[in-house]
Amino acid sequence: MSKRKKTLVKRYDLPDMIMHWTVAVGFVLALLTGYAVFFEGTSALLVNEIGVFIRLLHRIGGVLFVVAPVLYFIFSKKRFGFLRAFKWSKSDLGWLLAAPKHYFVGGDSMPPQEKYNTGQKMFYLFAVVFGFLLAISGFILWFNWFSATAQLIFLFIHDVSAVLLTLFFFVHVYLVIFHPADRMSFNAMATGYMDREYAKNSHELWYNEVKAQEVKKMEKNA
Amino acid sequence: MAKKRDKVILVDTTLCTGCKACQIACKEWHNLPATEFEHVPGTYQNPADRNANTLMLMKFIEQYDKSTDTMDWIFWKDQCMHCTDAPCVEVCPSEALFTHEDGFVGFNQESCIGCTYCSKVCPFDIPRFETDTLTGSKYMNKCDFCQDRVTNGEVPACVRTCPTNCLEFDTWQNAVDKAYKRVEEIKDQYPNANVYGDTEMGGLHYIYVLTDKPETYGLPVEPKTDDLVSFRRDVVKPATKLLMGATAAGLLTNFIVASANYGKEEQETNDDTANGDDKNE
Repeated sequence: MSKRKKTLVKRYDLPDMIMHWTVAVGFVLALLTGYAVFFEGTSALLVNEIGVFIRLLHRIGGVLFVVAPVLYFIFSKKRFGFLRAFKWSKSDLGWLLAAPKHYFVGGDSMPPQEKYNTGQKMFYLFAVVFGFLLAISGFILWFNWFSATAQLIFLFIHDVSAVLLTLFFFVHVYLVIFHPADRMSFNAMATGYMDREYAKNSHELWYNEVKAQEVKKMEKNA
Repeated sequence: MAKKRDKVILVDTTLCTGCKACQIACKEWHNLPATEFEHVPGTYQNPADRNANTLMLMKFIEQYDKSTDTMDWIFWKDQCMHCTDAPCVEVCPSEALFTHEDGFVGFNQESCIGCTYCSKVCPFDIPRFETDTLTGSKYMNKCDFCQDRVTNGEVPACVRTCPTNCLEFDTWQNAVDKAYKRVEEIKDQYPNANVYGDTEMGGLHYIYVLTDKPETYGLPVEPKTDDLVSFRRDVVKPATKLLMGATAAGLLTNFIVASANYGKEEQETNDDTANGDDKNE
């Protein structure tokens, strides 16, 4: 444990991870089945028992996508953590300007970041805003509320929210799985622990906070 | 526009006696179960509305005119109008709805996935659904113009059974001509008489001789396709493909460029041996 502590720093608790992965599974299920309908699939993919199964999967995905954050909001102490996504400052602009260089070439021109960097905050913001629209419009379509014309508008909202989320989702997945410098951050959400060196470089402000707390704890113990 | 040779059903409402034989024939031919009797006060209409098992419904409207102290009793046959420019065909993702070569809107229920898009765009509020507890709408059902009969040279079941020749099966142009001629004949008795279906939605494949204005029947005066249908087809879908392609291309470029650059950096500074496996990608 002590060795682990030396190279790793705790970033997520178990409830955080369960919430994240439930939403992820729900979103991917709904995404795959949703685009089958949106792009009109092949008839073979949509009809008969397979089609019924796809419809069911889409709804299961939607329910997971909604239930996980709701339970998290009710039970987790970090329920208002999502508000971070709405806090923006000047350094975010600096991050955006420096981002292309960082992600393509590398180098340390990025302003020091908090627990979530500007890009992560943007994705979080998208997930909260468009995820909310996606879920609301989805349930309206599912249960056939309101008039036919209103339904068509909600279908439009459902489509556009889904597309915007999907695009950002691609970027998110790419960065944590494929990007040569940032793919190691995948471990944080998979295990709850982040590489100390990576945390220092990528989330300096947050890392300093965590370190200060660690020092405090150690002093207390000693 | 509808083609002149398209097949069409001409409904001359002045000849209708409200016998409902067409409603029964429709059920019989499509092998659909009876629906629970629904008492609709003050009318012979039953059930109150069409449903997944009642594809067509005789509608009864009583109109009392105080000034002349007369009663007008209107009957009309309500079912899919079979538009030429059918928005339901446009939005159907599984090709369950299609424009038949004879012009009407055919329906293949085995292909229906119950997405309900058709019911959101239909200007006549036609689609009705068999529901399912888990997924809401299981499948849609609507008048299919007796496509199995028509493609085999038979007339639709409702036309076959009509005892008063109120329903006639004809080609599109013939039916429209007949309808206008009929309207001229009945103008004295019904000053508001008009033809419905020749211009609506690019030409319907049901042509009506109505004795009163369409509004009286609850029919839309100017039915049209919602603009969101074409917007979804022409903007949202192509834009989605474009943006997805652009994102994929951007990420792939990033992967190639970043892999090369980060590899170089690592070789130069040699600071992180943990990631050494990825250097030569």
